[in-house]
Amino acid sequence: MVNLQNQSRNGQDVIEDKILLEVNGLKKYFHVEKNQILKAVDGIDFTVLQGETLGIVGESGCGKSTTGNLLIHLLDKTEGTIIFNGLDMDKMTKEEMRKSRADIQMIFQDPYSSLNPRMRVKDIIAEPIKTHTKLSKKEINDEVNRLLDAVGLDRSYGNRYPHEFSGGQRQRIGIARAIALRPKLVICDEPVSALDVSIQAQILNLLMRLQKEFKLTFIFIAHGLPAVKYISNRIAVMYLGRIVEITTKNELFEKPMHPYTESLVSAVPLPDPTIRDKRERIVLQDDIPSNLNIPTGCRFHSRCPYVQDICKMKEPSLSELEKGHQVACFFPRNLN
Amino acid sequence: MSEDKILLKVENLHTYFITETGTVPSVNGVSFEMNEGETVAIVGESGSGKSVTSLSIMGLIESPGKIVNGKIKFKDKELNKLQEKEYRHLRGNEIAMIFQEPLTSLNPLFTVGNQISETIVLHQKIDKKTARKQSIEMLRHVGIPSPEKVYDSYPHVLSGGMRQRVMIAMALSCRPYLLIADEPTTALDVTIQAQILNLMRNLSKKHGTSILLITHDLGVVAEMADKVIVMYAGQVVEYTDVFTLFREPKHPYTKGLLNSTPKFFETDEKLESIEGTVPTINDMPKGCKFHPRCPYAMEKCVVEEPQIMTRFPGHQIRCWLYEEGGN
Repeated sequence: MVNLQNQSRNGQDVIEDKILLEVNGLKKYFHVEKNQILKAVDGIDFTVLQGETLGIVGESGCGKSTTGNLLIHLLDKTEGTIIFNGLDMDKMTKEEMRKSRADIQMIFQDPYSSLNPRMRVKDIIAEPIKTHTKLSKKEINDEVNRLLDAVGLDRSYGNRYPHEFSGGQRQRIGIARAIALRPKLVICDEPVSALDVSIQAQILNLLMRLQKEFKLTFIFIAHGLPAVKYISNRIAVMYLGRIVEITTKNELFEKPMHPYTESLVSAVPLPDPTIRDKRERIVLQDDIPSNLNIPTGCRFHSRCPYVQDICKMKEPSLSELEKGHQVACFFPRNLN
Repeated sequence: MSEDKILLKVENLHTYFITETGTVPSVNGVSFEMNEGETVAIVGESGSGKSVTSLSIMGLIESPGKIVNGKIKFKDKELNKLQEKEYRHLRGNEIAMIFQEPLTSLNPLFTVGNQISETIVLHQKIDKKTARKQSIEMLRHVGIPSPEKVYDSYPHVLSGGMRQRVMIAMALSCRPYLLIADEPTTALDVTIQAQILNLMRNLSKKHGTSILLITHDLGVVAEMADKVIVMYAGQVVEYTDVFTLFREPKHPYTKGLLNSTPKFFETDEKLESIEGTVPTINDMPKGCKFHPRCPYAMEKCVVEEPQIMTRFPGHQIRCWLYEEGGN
């Protein structure tokens, strides 16, 4: 059980000591041509506490989006267990399953392709309410208006179609739809990556306000570290289908222990020109290996600046090296 | 780094798109200059006109787009008066460009080597064998492992980072004076972005190539640029050196952009955001184009458009707040 430092803003502690989601040994393999197996997610474990935001970062092919898709049943897992709200998803009755689908919602990266262009905004937002509740037309209409208010859109926009809106406004529509059923868990898959800088901050702040207002738990998936750092309480770093490090955000950025995390943190371009010549950057060589051909031993060894012989043979497991700080590395950095 | 020799001078550039439904002023009076060896960044959000500015310099504006006013001076040539034939001699030779998405800017039907040596043969009038040798040398130079193999590969087998390296190799193969890089790392992963930025920095240092960097990422600007041009709705709103811009941003839009960028090493920061959305061509505001989103907007901003003026030494600002040297 990970002990969270009091991390919430404004001194309000909204993170409860209750595990909302527990993932054990989760795997997703895709069978591709010539009997090759693509290991997108290759055995990950993590827990998410009620009310927290867990960030998942990593580069293309690390399995972060696949993980999100497994959690909302857009994909069927190959192996592993997902325990949501105390119930094992494999052992759920049909009714429990239906309920859990309402309780886990998703916000997608591309606000253009994730909204049906032929539906009016109010119908897009009302759809999950119609599917999962027995509210009357008027009640649904009131609810849609409340949701439009909550995400900062004018009520009159409900009658328009998605193409009439900018990217940021569309993302607000997607957010209204995602929170319409007052879900417990919202998976945000790169929700700001496609937006302009000034709009990104708007959406991040909106998500954080809604989290408090609606008591939401977030899994925030992204490749951009600054945004993840801004919104998350804890962060998991993925590399080629595995979690290599997971800890609180401040720990992760101040004391990254996995060499991959260390290089990721050092590679982020910072908006401060005075430090550009002083900063120590660890520029990794080579490309990320293919998921079809994952290196033996530690999967990061082919790019690791500190590689030793054992790294090529044995795969390190994710273990808690300091309180609340799990790392999968034989030679962790910044250890006390 | 700068030797104060002007390489490129853009004066009052207006590039409009003349469509059936009306005229779209994508670039509306942009002026700046670049010295030899300098890296200048143009920052702005979608629709700010940053890409159209770079395409105007490359002479790649096609109908219905048109440079309706202004001068682009590159070395001793006036680019917007060149014939297409003369331009073609310049492009890829003296001015080269790399784009955001390397996959769509490489021809999928030809090998990498074919495409690089094409440029070299075209501009340097050498035989194919020498061109091949030079191309492989160039691929090695940009950090591609086993360049002989990559030379004979098709673009689709390469990763995003490798493709961008190929693009850079191609762009630099004729040793251009000016490299225009339009969001060169936006499509790349963080660790690969670091490799490419490093590569561009080193190449510029080594060969004295000037880089015009188009980006929306203030982090990339801070890492790379000597001077920064901030664009909003087709106009330059602030123009100064990189250190001044990050230390003392003056225009409310620049301030807003910086405040909406996570600082990364600060704990528990609160991001401020710029309210509202970037105006589209259909709802372009009167007066200052930023006034509907500006926290400091005054009456004057609504009715009258400010001009860009040098308000402090080496620091140009388009804002009524700094009229008469105000602060």
